[in-house]
Amino acid sequence: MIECLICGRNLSSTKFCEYHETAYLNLKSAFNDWKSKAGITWAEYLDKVIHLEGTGQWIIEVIEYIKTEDDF
Amino acid sequence: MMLITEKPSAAKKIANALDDEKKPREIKKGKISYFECTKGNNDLVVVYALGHLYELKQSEKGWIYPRFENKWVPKYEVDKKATNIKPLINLITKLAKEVDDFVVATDYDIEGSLIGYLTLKYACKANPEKAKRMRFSSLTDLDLQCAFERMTNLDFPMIESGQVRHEVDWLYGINLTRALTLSIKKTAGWFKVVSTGRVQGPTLSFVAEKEKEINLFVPLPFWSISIIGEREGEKIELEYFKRQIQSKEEANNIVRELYDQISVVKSINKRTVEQNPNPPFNLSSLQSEAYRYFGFKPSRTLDIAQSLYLDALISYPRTSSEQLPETLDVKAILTGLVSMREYALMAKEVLKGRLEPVQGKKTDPAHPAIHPTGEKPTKRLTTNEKNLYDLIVKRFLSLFGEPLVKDHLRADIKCNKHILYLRGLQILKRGWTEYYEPYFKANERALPNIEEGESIRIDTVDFEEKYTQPPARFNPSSLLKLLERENLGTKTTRSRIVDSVKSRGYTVGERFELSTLGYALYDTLGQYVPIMLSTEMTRQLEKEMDAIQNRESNREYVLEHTKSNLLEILEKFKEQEDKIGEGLVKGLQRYWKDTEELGPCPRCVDGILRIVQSPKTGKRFIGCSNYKDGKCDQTFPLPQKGTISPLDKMCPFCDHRMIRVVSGRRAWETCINWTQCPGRQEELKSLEQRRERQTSRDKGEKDND
Repeated sequence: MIECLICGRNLSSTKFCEYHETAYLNLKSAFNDWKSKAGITWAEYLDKVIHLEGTGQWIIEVIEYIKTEDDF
Repeated sequence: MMLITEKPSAAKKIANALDDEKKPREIKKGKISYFECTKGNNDLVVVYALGHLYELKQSEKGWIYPRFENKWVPKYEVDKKATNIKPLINLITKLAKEVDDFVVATDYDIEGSLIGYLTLKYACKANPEKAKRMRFSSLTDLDLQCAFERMTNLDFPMIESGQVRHEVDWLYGINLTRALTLSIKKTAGWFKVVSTGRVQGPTLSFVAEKEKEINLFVPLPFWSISIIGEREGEKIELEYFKRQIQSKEEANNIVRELYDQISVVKSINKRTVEQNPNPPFNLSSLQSEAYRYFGFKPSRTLDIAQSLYLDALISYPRTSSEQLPETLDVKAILTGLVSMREYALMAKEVLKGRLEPVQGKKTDPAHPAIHPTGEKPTKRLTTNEKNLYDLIVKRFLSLFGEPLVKDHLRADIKCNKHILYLRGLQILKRGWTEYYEPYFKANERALPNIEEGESIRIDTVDFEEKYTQPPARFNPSSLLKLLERENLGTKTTRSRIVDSVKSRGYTVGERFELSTLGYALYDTLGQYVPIMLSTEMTRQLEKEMDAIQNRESNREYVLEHTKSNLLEILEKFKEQEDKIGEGLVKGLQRYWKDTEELGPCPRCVDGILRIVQSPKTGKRFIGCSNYKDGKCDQTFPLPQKGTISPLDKMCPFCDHRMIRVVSGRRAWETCINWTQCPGRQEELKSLEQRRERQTSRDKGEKDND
């Protein structure tokens, strides 16, 4: 596998290209904030963020990908 | 004596201003013409260029790179559409044979000086060292007559700087664009021109960096408190002293602790602020204000301002200056404005005061800030011209106004440990803003008549969950401002560069959303030749060109330096051509898929619907990919105006793919089956009615003419 699972660009990690990998890391890091501020779980967090107006396109694509994985 | 001007309208104005009897003769030669006039003992021939008559052309053979040799040739040799240039050059050459003295009367800036110089050198075959220069900042009779009386020699450093700018831009544009295009051809066999340039690369980089931030943005929650107090039966909106509460629990506690409590006004703070008028317009601030109020793109504002300048209604618009010189006869301008109904009252009022305008900081050695000339329009202005002229006149009038004086009021209210605010804004003296209506708006908010120690009962209190927002995308005006701040391009070229990023397909929509093609170019250049995106290289070149103008450097040095830099870039590029081509081809495929593909064909199912353009009529429509093989002739019509982008949803009425159409500031969504869709018949009917009304209006106007 040499292409990003989301967009087909060249891989920068095991699954994603540079952009989607950064989006994934941003998503994980923002969860800590959400957890302490709103007290929600990872699944609730993903459900919420994917529908917010200001959420970046790459973040949305990463969430969509995560949701297709069984153990997200 | 021959006067070389930049445009036909400028030639007419200049001939008219200089002719003793104000009756210059226009001599027509087919579609072109020139003017003859008499000033004292001088017989003057006034000819015009049509912008640049000469362009740079490669002097070696082959569509390859690197290519460093070029020469100035008549524009029609480079641009096949410039058919009117050949007779014009022939006419100037013929007339020049009978003339001994030459005067350059083009716009006094780098481009104008270069146009005059090249016309003198190649069309007139005259010695530029012996020619004279008229310098003016407006096309009014007085300015032009003064410029004729006080002619100087040509400004050779300015000309050299303009020449080098063209040569450097040519070297970068031609070589880098060929490198990119040929890398695609080598990889996929397609000939698709992908361009970049000295300033375009860094501009793309600004847009891409912003887009990355937006695409990687995760909103974070915060909570805001809304409070309504009650005092003597009157409801008052109060503010909680913290705009953002960082946890839901804290927001909950605040609401609980405030509900139905009595708060007390602890202090009332009043701050009186004086605000001076904004400085006179330069091109950049005019473009920014015109975008804000009228939605004009910077290039459009420049075009309209240029047309007002050619009508002698405003001064030269390509200026960086925010200052009006002491020598400017502001009294005469204001007296001129008194004769115009719309401005008479205001101009009379200004004339009563001290005629000392507010000045800005920025300067320009060649031209003053943009200002009206006070001349009355001699033709009916278009709506856009009228709007821009009004903005310029009102800004000019406002420069003489008194400061705006306003009171900011804030009552600090305490409720247990919590602090609440009640704010008000009151304008005490409107000052200059009276002249600047409707372009100035103050949101006045009266402060209720309360005193310290008074009580206010908290009537309702609630919290709302909100989210942080990503940075805003660029609009044409903010991107132009950034280029100016970064000192990239010139006041003349910046608006064209902003337009080109969009017209080349690197961005989509009004708000400069980076396209997949834009990303592909940015990614590929960033990975393999990052210097092509860097601001440093181009800023250094700008400095070198300025140095030529200031006589601190010369053309030979700058060109040598440019060529050796470019050669280094191109060698690196060549080494990685395969990888670069691969990246661009992938990006192009994604771009075409995003912008032109509309999913499977509903008729043959295995074909793909695509936006195509008829080679015969140039009109666009949707066709099936199986058409070429003669298997499917499914088509759908498309609106011919505006940008179309496929949407990821289907029509709720007919289940065809939806598209978004953006035309000017108007955007709407419809389906590809819009002419047949049962849910869109009302839309079609009203479109038909609009068209009929427009046709009858056009017919009426024609009859009146």
